[in-house]
Amino acid sequence: MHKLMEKEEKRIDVLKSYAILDSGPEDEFDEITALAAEIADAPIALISFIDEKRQWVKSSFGIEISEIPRENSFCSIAINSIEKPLIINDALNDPRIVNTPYQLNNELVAFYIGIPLFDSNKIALGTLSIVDFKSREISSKDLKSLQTIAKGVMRLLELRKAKENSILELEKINKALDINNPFYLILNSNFEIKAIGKSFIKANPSIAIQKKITEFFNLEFDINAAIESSIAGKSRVLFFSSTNKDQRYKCSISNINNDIIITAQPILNEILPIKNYNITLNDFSQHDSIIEYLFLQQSAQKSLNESRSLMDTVTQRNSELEEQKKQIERNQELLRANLLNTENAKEKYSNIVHATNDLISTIDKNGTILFVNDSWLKKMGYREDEVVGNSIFKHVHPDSQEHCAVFFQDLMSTSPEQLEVNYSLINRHGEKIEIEGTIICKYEQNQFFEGNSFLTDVTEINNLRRIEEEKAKEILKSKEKLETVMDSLKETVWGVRLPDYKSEFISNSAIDLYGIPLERWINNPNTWLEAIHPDDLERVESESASLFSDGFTELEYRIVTPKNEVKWIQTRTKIVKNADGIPYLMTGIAADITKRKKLELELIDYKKGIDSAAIVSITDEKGIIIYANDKFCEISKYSVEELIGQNHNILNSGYHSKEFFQEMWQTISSGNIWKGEVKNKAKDGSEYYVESSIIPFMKEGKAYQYLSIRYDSTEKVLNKLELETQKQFYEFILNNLPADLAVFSPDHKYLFINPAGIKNNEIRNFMIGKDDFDYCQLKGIDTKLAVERRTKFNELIREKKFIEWEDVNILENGAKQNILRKIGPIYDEYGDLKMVIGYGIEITERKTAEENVIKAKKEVEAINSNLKKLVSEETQKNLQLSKSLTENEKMATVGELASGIAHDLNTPLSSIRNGSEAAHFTVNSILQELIWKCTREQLNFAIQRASTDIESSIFTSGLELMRLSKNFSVYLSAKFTNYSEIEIKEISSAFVRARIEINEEELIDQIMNASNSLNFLKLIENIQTYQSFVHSIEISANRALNVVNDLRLNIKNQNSIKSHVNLKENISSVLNVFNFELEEKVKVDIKIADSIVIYGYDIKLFQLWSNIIKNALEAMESNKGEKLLKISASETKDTISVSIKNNGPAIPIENQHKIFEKFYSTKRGLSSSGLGMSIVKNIITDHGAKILLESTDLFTTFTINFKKA
Amino acid sequence: MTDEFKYAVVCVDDDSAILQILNFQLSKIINDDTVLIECFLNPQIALTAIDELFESGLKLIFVIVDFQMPYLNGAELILSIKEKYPQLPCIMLSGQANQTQVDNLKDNNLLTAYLEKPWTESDLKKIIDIQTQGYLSVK
Repeated sequence: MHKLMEKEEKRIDVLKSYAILDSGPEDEFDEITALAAEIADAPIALISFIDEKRQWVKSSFGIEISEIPRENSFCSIAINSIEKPLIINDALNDPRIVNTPYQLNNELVAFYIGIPLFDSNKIALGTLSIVDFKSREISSKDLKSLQTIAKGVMRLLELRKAKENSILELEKINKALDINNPFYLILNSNFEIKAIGKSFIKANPSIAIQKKITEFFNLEFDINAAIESSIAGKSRVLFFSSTNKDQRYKCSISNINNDIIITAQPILNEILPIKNYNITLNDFSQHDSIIEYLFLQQSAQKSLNESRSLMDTVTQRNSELEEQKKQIERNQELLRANLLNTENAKEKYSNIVHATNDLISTIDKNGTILFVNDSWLKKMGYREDEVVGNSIFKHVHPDSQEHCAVFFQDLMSTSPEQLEVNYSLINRHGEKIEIEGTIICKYEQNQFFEGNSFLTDVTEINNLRRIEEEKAKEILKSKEKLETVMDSLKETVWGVRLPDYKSEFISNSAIDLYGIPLERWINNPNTWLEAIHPDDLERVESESASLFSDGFTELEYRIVTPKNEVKWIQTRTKIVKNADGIPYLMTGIAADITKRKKLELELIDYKKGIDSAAIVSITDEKGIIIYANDKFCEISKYSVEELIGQNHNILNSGYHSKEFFQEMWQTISSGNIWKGEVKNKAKDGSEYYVESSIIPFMKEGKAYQYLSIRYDSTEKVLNKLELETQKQFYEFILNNLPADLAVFSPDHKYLFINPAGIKNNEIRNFMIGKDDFDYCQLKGIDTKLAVERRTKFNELIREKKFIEWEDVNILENGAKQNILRKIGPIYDEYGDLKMVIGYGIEITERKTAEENVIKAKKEVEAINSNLKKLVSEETQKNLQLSKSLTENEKMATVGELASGIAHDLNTPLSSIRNGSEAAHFTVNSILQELIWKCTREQLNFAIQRASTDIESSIFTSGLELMRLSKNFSVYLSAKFTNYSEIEIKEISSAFVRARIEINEEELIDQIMNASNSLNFLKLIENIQTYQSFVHSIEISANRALNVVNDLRLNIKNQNSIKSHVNLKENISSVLNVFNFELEEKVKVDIKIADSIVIYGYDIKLFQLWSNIIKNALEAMESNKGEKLLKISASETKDTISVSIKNNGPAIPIENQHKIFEKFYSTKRGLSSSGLGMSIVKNIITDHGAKILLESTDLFTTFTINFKKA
Repeated sequence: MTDEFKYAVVCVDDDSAILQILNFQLSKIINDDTVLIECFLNPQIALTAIDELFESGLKLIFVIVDFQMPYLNGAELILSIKEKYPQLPCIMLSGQANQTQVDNLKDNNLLTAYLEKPWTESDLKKIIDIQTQGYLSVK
């Protein structure tokens, strides 16, 4: 639940970033709703966005509505439906609609389509919705159109957002970069990752910053060398792959400010286009207001200075006055000393009194004026007679009346000698005269008698004082205001007085910015210079040289704080001049731009990154190139000069249709981003592919510039072509594979079958998507096959491993094929079963071949070991033969013969020798039994019984005999109670050895009733044994004879001379040799004209027929029915054709060509030396004849064609 | 059942005629009711049968094995037998033996005797008599 809320919060954040909510109507959106309504043929269409509480309608068609509460909104449901549009055909009966029916325009909504508006991260912000009041449906074509329109809405939103976004935000740059160049890495000089493109993180979530790049990637290049060549301006395309090797990247490296920027492209991956983000750097709008304050401050300062100069004048004047006052005081002292003394003094006093500027007067205890001097009269504008005798209060200014009354009262009561006073008079013209002075009091009889006032006019001074005070207040106010502003600013505002650079003011933020206390700023004019980063000092000095001539500089440089932090600051400095044009104040503002600078540098890095990875150009609205980067030049082989001013179609390869470019122009001129793969032609005529994104820049609804960002995709396109070829190549291989091959889906349906699996194209195509049950049904065969294969398939699913089994395939001609089948699972990267591959290999042939190899090997080994023995033994036994062999044959031929002879002769000879010995022994026993113990009838019976079944149960295992004997004793002891246990045991054993079975009741009764039971049984046993040995001797003798025949047939008498051989006679002599085998068993049919004569070697022809006939007889041995040997010959003018047929089993077609190889034999044992048919081939060659083999189920036919001489 | 047999002799040859002769000659030479003579056409079946004979408590006196056999030749069979029963005497019978393999057996003292085809009953008797000494009274 928490996660869902988080998701919703994120969604709303994203929505808010578009600043669309509660915005005014916009034509573009209204056009879209109108179009949507028309397409859907519905009365109402809306574009709305869903925030926390409501569905806010951006544009509506067919209804006036601005918002709908979320709980009533169908669109709220639509935005939660993943990717798919929400379609409600009948709202009143739709289970998804739980609320009461919803009304619009007083009608019930019956039909609704909501197509979610997804941003690039698949976050649904709102919907494009269609509403109708009758339940209905929408065609898929119309729905598709609406989805396209919905995408258009989103694009409109993106454009709108981009247009309104003018503030630099790293996020956005990142986003832009990530979309555009999704794979980049920024490393520091230790190759540790500083920044990662988001797509990299997406592709490989384990990537983390501050770790070495090599922890995540296998670099296929030397990074130091790559950086060096990048610094040298030689960029190369480099490759690396993720450590788990699942993705390989193509990359380029650039080095900027000790940072290594790797821009990469996943190989064979889609490149997404750039979004239209208007990226500008921060403007210093705030700064202007600070400058404004500065000037205010400066004007205040100006007034301050003016008032100061005024003050100086006043002060000067004051000191003059002070001087006068002191003089007067000295005079007064003098006066006081001499006042009441001499007339001279009086006169002198009177002169002084009248000469002074001070206002001097004398009043009595009632305040009546007794005397005033000339200055007094002059100041007050009266004549002496107008004043003397009148009250002084008459001349006191109304403002001071009260004050004067008070101090006059004091004067009366406290009796001071003198009193400092300060009040105002009013003169004849009504002017206020402010005075200060001293009243010297005279007392008589402790009563105030007289007071002499010495007063100075301070009106002017007071006026000045007041002005000064006011000014000072004003300045203070202004200064306070400024300081408040300054202190609230992060930027440091400062001023120094010229020409001595004494610090006038500096805001507190200097402490934060520079980390330097204010006192130092004030005391040391060089503080700012000392803070500058040594690397930037020279530049700052040169750039600030023009400050006094221009009156203004703007600098950006680094500073080093006492804590060794490096910060980027921007300073703006201004010179303030006085009215005479002389600079008296330097003021400025310093701002921390470290963050911005970092962004700028990063931006430069990114730009370089894009520039180094992508092909970038800008054209005007007509397609005239106004910018092209190096990559562009590199790939197009034009120089920048050649490109600028040219129309972009200079690169047109002529490959694309006119419509292709029309569509492109239509897209971009209407403000949309176009992307596609374009084949271009370079200057030298070579062609290349680029994945292009063209981004229009719009001004007042019209595109005025196009930015194209492209990636070279030639390799990718070529790869694609190569993949296609490879695919065809592998398909070709699979289709021609001589083994059954099939691919199954996880539910055991055929996905692929090769022609070896199913020959018939129609059936093969039919089987795709079907299973073996369908196959059985199609073929009309039992489902046993399908059940068996399904069992194997299930076993594979269960065991998760290869399953193999042997299978017998019945071919159309009825022949059996042994197939080894294997099926194996293939899993996808999540470990789920993806498919199952099955194949079958025919193993009958392989097994035969293996056996042949082993056999040939053994026989060759045997040749070696038995060669000596053969020579010693066989030369004695068949001197003539061995002589002819040693004389006429090469040693190889001897070897060939030896292999057959050794075993095949020794074995039968063993039997013959020992069998005859055994037979002799047995006959002796029989004779003893016969003479002494048995009757003639018993002998006849024993002989008859033995000859009926010679071959069966020649010998039986001892334990089996025991078991049978035990059964017999049980049977006998039950039936013949008059025998003892030991007798029964003995007689049971005799029964068993005589091979009489327990069910031969009649015979058992007969033997038990005879007086010589044991003897009779022994007789039966012996005669049987005898017969079997005689039989064994017979078989062995035949085998020995066959071997001898082989030897005979192998003689190549080089001395023999060609002669005219009568065919019929020659063949007849061969048949005579085989007489013992042919007799009774085989039906021989000979059709040869007496006249046919072959010019050839008599003996070799004899060998030829012998071998073929022998081969035929062996082939027919297994025949259950009739054995048929047909020999016929026909003659034309030039040829004689002899055909020998037998009705033995067919020779499998794949074995037919092997028949004529040496040591090839289809069966082991008896006389098969594997030589016969190779001899045939040699003889055929000697006679210049040809032999043909045809083998069907009915007959195997050898046809030999002789040319007539 | 086996209480009557104390000993056993095993013959292996893929040729039934030879096996029959061997069976006959061995019963004649040994001529003792306590000796079970078991013959096998298939060497692999023989191998499992030998195990069974041992399990049933019989004392195996020797084994006679033909060299040339399908699936498992005589030399290979003897190697398999000796692996399990190193003390059991093995006699090789052959008309055509791979000398290397036989030599290999001889070199490792795995072969008690070697009887070449064609043999005579007296040839066989000489070998059997030595092997049966101490077990039975040979007649």
